[in-house]
Amino acid sequence: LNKYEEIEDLKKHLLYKNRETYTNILFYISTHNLKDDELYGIEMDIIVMALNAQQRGDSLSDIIGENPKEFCNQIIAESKKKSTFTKFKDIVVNLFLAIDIYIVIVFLVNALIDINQLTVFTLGHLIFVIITFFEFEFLFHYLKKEAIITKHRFNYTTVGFLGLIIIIISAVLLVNFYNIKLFEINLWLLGIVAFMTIVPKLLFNIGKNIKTQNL
Amino acid sequence: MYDDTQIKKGILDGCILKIVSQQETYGYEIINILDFYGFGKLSEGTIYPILKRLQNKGFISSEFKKSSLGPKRKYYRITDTGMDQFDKFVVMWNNTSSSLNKLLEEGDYFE
Repeated sequence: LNKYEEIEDLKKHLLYKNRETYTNILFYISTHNLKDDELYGIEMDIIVMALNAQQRGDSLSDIIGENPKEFCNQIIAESKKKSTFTKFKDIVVNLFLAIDIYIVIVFLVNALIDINQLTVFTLGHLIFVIITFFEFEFLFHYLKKEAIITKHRFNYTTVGFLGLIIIIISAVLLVNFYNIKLFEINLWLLGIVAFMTIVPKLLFNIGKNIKTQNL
Repeated sequence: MYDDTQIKKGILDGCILKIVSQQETYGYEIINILDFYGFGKLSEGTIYPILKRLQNKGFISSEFKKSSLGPKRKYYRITDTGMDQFDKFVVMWNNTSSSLNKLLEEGDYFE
C-alpha cells in the first residue's frame, strides 16, 4: 500500500465519533497551507493516536484535550508551510483543471444537440468558471475552518444553498459576457483531448480502488 | 492553588528529551512516565506538538512500529543533537533552580 492508501485503510478502523473528530481536525489543518508531506505525517499521527485511544476505550476528543482548535494551532505552528510560489502554483493547477472540466461539460452538452457544430468558448464562459472556482474555494475554506468549532461536518443544506447562489451569480455574469468570443473548437478535437486527459486518469483511479478493495 | 502550567510548559521539552534518551518510547508511555514523576496526567494533545517540534529541530527521530497488543505506534528516540540539547537543558535548569533557591532561601535583599 502507498502512504495515501494506508491512511484510507487505517481510517476504516476508526469509530464514527473518532472519524468525525479526525476529519474536523484535518479540515482545519488543511486550510493552513502545510507542505503535502507534513500534512500526510500529521494525518498518520492523528489516526494512529486515535486508534490507540480507541483500544484503551478513550476517544480522540478525550486525548487531544478540551480545545481542539488550540491543539491544531500548536501543530500548525510547528509544521513546515508551503512557499508562496507553491501556493500560487496549486491554485493555478486547480483552476486549469476546473476550466478543463468545464470545457468538457459545455462541449459534451453541445454535442448532444449537434455533433457537427463548432462550439464557441466565450469570455462569459471563462468568467463563469473562474468566479465559480474562487467562490467554491472560499466557501470550502471557510467551512473547513468552521468544522472544528461547530464540531460537525459540513451542513450539506447550507453548502447546497450557498453553492446555488454562487452558480446563479456566476450564471448572470456568463450571460452578460456570453457574446465575447475567445476561441472556437471542434467537438471531435475536444473529444480526443478529453479522452487523453481525463479518461485514463479515471480508469487509473477505478483500477486503484478495485486493487485496494481486493487487498 | 498556584497554576504551574506555564512552568511545566517551559520544561517539558527537557523532560521528554530525558525520557527518550533512556529508551525508545511512544507518546502514551511518555505521558505515563511524566505522571509517575508527578507532572500530572497530561493529554496527548499537549505532548504531540512538543514531540513534533523536537523532531523538526532534529533532537528526536521517530518510527512507526507494529504492536502485538493492537494498532501500530510511533516510537521516538533521541538523536546526537538531542543529547547535546539535553545537556544544555540540564545546565540551564541547574542555573535557574539554583538562582531560585538562593532567592527563596537567603532571606531579604534589602535587609
